[in-house]
Amino acid sequence: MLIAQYTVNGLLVGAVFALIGLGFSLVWGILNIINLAHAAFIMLGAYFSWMLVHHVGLNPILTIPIVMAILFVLGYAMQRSLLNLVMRAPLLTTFLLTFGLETLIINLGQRLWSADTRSVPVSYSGRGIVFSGNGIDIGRPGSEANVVVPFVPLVAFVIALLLVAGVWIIMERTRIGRAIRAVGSDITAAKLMGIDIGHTYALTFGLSAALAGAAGSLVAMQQGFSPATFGAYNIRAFIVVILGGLGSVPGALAGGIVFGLIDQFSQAPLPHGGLFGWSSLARIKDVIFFAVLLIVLIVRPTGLLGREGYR
Amino acid sequence: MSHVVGDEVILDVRDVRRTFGGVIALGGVSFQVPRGSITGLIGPNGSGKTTLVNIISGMLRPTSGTVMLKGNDISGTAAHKIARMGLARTFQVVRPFANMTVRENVAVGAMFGGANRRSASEAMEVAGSVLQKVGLGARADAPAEELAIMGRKRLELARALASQPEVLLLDEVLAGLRAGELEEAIALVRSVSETGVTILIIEHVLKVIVSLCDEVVVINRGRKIAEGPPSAVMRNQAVIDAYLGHRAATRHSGAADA
Amino acid sequence: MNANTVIFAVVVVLGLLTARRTTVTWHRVLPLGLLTGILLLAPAFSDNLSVLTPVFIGALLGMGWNIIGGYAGYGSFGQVAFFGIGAYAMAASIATTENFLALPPVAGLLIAAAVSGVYALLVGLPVLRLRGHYFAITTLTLAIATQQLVKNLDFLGGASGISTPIIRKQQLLFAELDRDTYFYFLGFILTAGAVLATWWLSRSKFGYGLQAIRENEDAATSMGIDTTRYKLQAFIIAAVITGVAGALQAYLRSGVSPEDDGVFQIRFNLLPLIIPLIGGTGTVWGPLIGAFAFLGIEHVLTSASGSSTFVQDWERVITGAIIVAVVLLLPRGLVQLVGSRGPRGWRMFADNIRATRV
Repeated sequence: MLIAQYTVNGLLVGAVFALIGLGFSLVWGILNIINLAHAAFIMLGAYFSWMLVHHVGLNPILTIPIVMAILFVLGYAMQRSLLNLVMRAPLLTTFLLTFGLETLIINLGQRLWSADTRSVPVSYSGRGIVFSGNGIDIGRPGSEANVVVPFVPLVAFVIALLLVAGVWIIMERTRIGRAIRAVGSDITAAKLMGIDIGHTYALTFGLSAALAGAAGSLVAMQQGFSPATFGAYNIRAFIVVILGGLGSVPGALAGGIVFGLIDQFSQAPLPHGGLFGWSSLARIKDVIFFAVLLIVLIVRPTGLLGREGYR
Repeated sequence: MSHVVGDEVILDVRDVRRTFGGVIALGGVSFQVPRGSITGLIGPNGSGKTTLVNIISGMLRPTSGTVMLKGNDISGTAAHKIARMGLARTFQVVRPFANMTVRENVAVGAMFGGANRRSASEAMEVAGSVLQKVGLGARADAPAEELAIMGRKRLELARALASQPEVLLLDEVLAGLRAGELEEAIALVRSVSETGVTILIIEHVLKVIVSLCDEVVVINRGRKIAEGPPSAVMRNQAVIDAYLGHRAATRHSGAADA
Repeated sequence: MNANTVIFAVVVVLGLLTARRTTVTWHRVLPLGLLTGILLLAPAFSDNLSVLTPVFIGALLGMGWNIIGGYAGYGSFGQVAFFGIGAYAMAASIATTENFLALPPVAGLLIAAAVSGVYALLVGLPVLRLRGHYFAITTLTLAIATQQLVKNLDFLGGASGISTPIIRKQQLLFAELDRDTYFYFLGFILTAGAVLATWWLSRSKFGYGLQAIRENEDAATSMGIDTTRYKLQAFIIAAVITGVAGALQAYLRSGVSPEDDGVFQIRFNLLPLIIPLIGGTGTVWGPLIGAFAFLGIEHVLTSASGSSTFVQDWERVITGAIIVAVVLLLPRGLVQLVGSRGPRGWRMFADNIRATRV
């Protein structure tokens, strides 16, 4: 495949990764909680979308607002009831709590929906915008020498970008966004300004869950999934945030794109017949991400665009 | 004061600078601390005192300049190594080791600091006698987190003393104490000095400095602005301006307020 | 109620009594003696000894984590990396097929310990520069990366793993034992060794240094503790204990597999966390108590319900719920029940929640 194709693929998946990272970053930056249940929320988003499509016959894209609403309420309730109890606890405690919740939810998912692989069928999958030597066309890729922008990932890309932009607008231009940022940067001052801390925390958590749910719906549209698929998303979210910088919406976007590019380029074939018998580095993708994580954390821990406070 | 101030310079700070990104926290500070003295390091908030203490104790590297301890260059040396060379410090925000007893807290100081590093069991005994000296003997086996503010400050001091340091840096140890407690604390510091320990006391409160210190160094905005015996320093115009009249100072320099 | 359930319960109670804070030595030595006795005699009473060896493996996992997470305060979320590496090192050492070494089991255990230690040294140098959240997630990433690496190395058997001989009768010290008894005592000896090591550590300078690092790392440094070196040492010791647990697992199960149901499975990453949490982190007896308590409950649930699949299906859900409950109500673990401070009874639980609420 051409470099251009890897780049296109990287950008397309990158936006969804940015969405996942953004939700994770919100809770981490404002509530100072590393929420391992984030992956569980993504799973719920995927399965709720699937159920709406499968049982109600909704268009996959239309399931997204519904899924977001459900996850928002779920997230709000969870923070207000459970997580609120450990806000001042040591890090390990909160980590273990969200870890426990993740285990609970994902395995509950396995009980409810079984480990069978599901997918959300989309009528225009498999086709896209094809750039070939003969110009631009719509349809199937044809030969390997063509660069194709497939429809389904493109739709996911656009939706993800819209959501990220939406969050940015909320954070910058609305009162509630300012309240969230205030609580994140100086909780005492926020209290003095009359902001309801508990409510704001819960809203932030709910928003994060909603974003995760949307990401889940987008994932469901693009690939087969089962409850176990989602376990890896916590690490991915973490790496996106580290790459791009905590506390920044543009940072989450940058981190997501870089992550997506690394993810896709790792599938490129290695020259000279490969290494250890591997034709590409895709088989040790997680080893690469581990190395990237270490390097970034040691060399530039604030990430590409990170800074204090939330923007 | 009944402690003896010698001629030997035990701590020599030479043109120490420290920048953080574009901000100049310390712009070339120099002073000398004679062995056996109680020297005060004072300055308004944000003057760079804590940065300087962190550099001397090894928690930060200086951007340039040197720090000499007993004639050895310790600039940029790791903090734990400096502790083993006979320098101990207390922290402004006092946080004892919460899940240990008072005795265990102090014993850690004896185990790892100073020239005579003890084994665990020896350290426990040494801790006991140090605790007597600071007045915490009765609470030795209580959990450290049960101590109130004055007790915690005594504990902080005991932890530092347990390593039998030659130089003791006290970082704003007197902050937040009521009048009676303040008297006790000053007496405690004096008694430590009488055992021969050189003390560099960083403080914000001027009255205390006058009664305790042989010499005072004043820094403001990262630079030394005065040095000498307390009475002289307190009458120094630049010092008065620094503490009282930011407006007076800015009228002259035209610089923006910190 | 079968014999194993009684054994589980008795061990937990005796463990708690041994862990009690008391100045009267007799009050601790007696339960300790009884505990050792019960464990040595268990093969005579147990109705199914093979249930108990995995409990020792769990205890070892807990004790390994306890060194780096409990004493040093660096909560590792990736101990399964060392469990798997130790298991693979053991398997590669004792396997008799083509490329492998066909060494005796003791050599295998030593090699597993050494390999885990070296791996921890290499990985620990960069990773221990991180603290808190960053350390936790990076170790989690390490675990995933290690599994993936091992799975893709063909000289380690690739995706099919390594098979080792099935043990039926074996010589241990002076006696020839049947399979279940052999593995039980092997587990017991290794666990006892780890308990001794932890006990020694808790009273040593090294142990105090680690605890100082946990409580206030900056103060620890300025008090003369070489925190970099100490953290690395703790990380290595934790890895060695965890690696030995993995070696025992490989030996017991006659082989290793890199798949998600093999030595790198999530369970072996969860157990090092839950077990010390339930028993009491940063204590000598916490992990042992936690292992028998948690795995005991699992055992009861499995044998209570008519079909054993009920619990297996819901096991992870129950595990998740237990973690949530313990974290909220009893964050200091079961040893808090025999601790000397704080309120008792229901008030203790209420206090635990109140301490961390906004």
